[in-house]
Amino acid sequence: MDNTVLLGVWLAVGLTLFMYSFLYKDNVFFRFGEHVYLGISIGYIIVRVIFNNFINDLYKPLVEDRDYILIIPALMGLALYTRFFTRIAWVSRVIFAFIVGFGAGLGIPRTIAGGIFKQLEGVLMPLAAIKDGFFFNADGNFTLVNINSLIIIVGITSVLVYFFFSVEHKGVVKSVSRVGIYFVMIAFGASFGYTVMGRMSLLIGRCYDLIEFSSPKYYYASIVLLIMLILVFIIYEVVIKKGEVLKTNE
Amino acid sequence: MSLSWQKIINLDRRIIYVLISLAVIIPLMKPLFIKVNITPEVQAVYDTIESLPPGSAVFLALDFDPAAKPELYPMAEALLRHAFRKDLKVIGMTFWVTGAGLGEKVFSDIAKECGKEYGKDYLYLGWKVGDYALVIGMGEEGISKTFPKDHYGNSTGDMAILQNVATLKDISYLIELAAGDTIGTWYYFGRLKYNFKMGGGCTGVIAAGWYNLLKIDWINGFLGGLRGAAEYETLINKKGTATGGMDAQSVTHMLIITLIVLSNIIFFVTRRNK
Amino acid sequence: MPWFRILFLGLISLLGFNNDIFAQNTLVSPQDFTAFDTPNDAGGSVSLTWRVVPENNKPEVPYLILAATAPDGPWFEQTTLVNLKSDYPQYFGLSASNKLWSYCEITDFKQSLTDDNPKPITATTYFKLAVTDGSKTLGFSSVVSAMHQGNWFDASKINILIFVVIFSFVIMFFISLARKNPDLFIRRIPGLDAIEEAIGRATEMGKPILYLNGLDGMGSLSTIAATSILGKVARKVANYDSQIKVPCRDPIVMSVCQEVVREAYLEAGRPDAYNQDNIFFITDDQFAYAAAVDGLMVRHKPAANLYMGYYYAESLLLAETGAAIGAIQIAGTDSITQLPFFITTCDYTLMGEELYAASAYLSREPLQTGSLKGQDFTKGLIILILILGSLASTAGITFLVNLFKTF
Repeated sequence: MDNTVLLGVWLAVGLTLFMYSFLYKDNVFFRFGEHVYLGISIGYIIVRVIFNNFINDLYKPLVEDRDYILIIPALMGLALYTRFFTRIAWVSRVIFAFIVGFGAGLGIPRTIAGGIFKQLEGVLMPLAAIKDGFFFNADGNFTLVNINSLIIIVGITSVLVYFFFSVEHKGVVKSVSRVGIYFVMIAFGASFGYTVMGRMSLLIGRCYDLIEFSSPKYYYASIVLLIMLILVFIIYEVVIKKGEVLKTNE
Repeated sequence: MSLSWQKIINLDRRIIYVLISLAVIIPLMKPLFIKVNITPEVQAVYDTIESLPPGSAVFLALDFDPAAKPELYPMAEALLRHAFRKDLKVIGMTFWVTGAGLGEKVFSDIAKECGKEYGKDYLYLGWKVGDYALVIGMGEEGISKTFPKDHYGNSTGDMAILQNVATLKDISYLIELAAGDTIGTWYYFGRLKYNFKMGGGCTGVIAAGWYNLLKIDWINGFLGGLRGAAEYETLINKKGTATGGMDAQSVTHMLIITLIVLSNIIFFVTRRNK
Repeated sequence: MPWFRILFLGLISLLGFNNDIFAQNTLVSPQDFTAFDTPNDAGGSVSLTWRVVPENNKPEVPYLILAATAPDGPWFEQTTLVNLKSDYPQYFGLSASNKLWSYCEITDFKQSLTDDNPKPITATTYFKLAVTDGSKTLGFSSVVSAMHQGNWFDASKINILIFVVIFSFVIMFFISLARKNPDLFIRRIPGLDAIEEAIGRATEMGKPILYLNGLDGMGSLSTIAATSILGKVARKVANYDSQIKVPCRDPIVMSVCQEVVREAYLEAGRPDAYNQDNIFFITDDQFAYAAAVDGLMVRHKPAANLYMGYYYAESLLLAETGAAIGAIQIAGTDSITQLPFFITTCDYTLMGEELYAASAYLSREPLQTGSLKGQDFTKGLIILILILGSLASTAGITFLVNLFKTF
């Protein structure tokens, strides 16, 4: 086993256990892990952006390939920093306006097409094929498609009424919005369940690695570090408690 | 409220953490081999790849970072194994800077396992800033013009794999593995303009919302969370970490359901007693 | 020369022989063959259409498209096709008569059917269409020509344009109405009372208030609403002489929040109490930010946590830690996937559009109030379309469904 791989494994296990130690209580190990994570995340992103983005996409094309058109977006990007200088801060507002305008121009049609029209297209379906009957399709087989369509229409309408802010929730509006909130809560329940599954999957993924790294190949990294961490906590608690007892006696 | 109910309601959360940990660790060490049933949305992705003739181009967007690795990495492995088994050409990239290394690892590991040649059978473009601009570029100007260099710094212009796959219009199927909101970018600026088929995979957190995308025909199928990855591994007959995790998933879910039901019973009983 | 005559007679007999085959197959030459620039595209493509005729309307009848750079040839085979229907509503609309036409799109010029390196079309190109029996050409259409060009306007998206124009007018109308009458009715959001209560509680306990703006940048609507609410909250905090901490994930959001809070303290007449260090940037990374805020919560033990804005997977990490330290928690987000977690862990939750409504309710800015009323009007319109559209679809009228088709 390569020493660098071994070092990486022990570091990974150590930091995982440090972060999980927060479940017991806030402690110096968690804080250490938190600050290492913070520092590494910023450092990694900075290095990536400089080498992948700035040097590969701006410096090299500009200097080596003489693609001088890139000066324009480079200057626009630099102009954003003028917001820190009061006298010329207005320049950054022009650039922001460009960014917002471009973003809105790209974003608005796509949001309307995909977020509203496509949804309406999918929902504006027949409530029932009248000639076949409500619970049967053209082949005469039992189907819940029509019930589903009805539920979808009722659900969408009642939820939209719930989020109507121009009318006080009284009378019929109150009843309809109540139905709407039930639909919303059922949807949230489904989302919650799926998310719990997602979070458990992440835990399973880490546990998989911890179990793998507890093997003799990695010199029982998980077991050794876990025992060391528990011992440190026990000693810390005993020493602190002893210290407190001594203080109160004094 | 009686003392016993009070004790349960005020149970130290650390006990619950220990129970959950045990519910995860024990099934991982002692598998239960619970059967994984296949859902229609995962079957649809499998059937689409299965129907592609050899030599077709598949685009794999690995839009996730190490935080989503336990769920999406097994998906990427299973999809790549399937694609390589079908002798499809696979091109990969990512919108996430922190995911670039993960994409490189999955491509190189699975390609080595399947005996595939870089530049001819697969290509990894890596990460580049640009978001929708990259999608538009790959669709209009071409993949090698948008990514003149791949993740390793090689020139993409001469690569054999891109000879018949100039733009996004030439790809047969795009699979978006998303930990965030990137599916919209691929749909609006890719599928809507260039009419390729699209499927996906996502974390459990956003999976519930993807059923709506399925309904409005953004995607023809998707793999939801670790469960989706496990189903795909079952379909390709190559069990991996996702299938192994299903036992632990089932046990933890049963534990959580038990705790929820118990706490709700206590809540209603104590409310009635008041 | 004798060999020439023999060849000529052979050709004539072949033609006669072919004509006999042609008559036996009862296939007819392609009808109404036309070529034109493909509509609603950026150029580079020519469209060919021809009428579907009953005699040729069999699945196995193949067509052969030939192209040339001059009307007399030489002709090069481009592609063979089986009988196609016109299934391109983004080019031809949704009329039922489109089914009477076959369609093909040509984007490059090949030297032969097996040409792997075709060139793009650069000049006026001539086309003719042949019906074949799989091996022999049985009849040709007339020769047509076309040249591609990019179109400025994509007519297939005209319904989106109409919607944007109508929606924009509605919003502008209500904004002007809100300018004339700032007290347009907005129903009270229950979570807003809880914010006042939370600030009061924090002041009594002498502990700070933690305010998070979410993880998106200033371009996000929820962040804009969150910073608007931050202004109101900061003003109350200044009045009560309490303390507010605003850890930010985005440096631009941090700058905006610093200005918003400074303005709030100025309005409250407490510029001396403003401390810029209370609004600070942590990191761009999602989970590093969550870890840092969790550490902050555990160390500083704020009495109230306000989560306003857009959140991702770290929402439960934040809210659960906040619940563990016993803080009163109020959340407001339009992140559908995270709302369930805020609902279970927070005391009050502003769901989705309630966040924007709360921002408009508190600020009473004409822009926000007018936008909210305009959205309500559009919502009412959509409810109407839903009900009418479903009833119309049930009756077999697809007009409303077709209005919202996207390509």
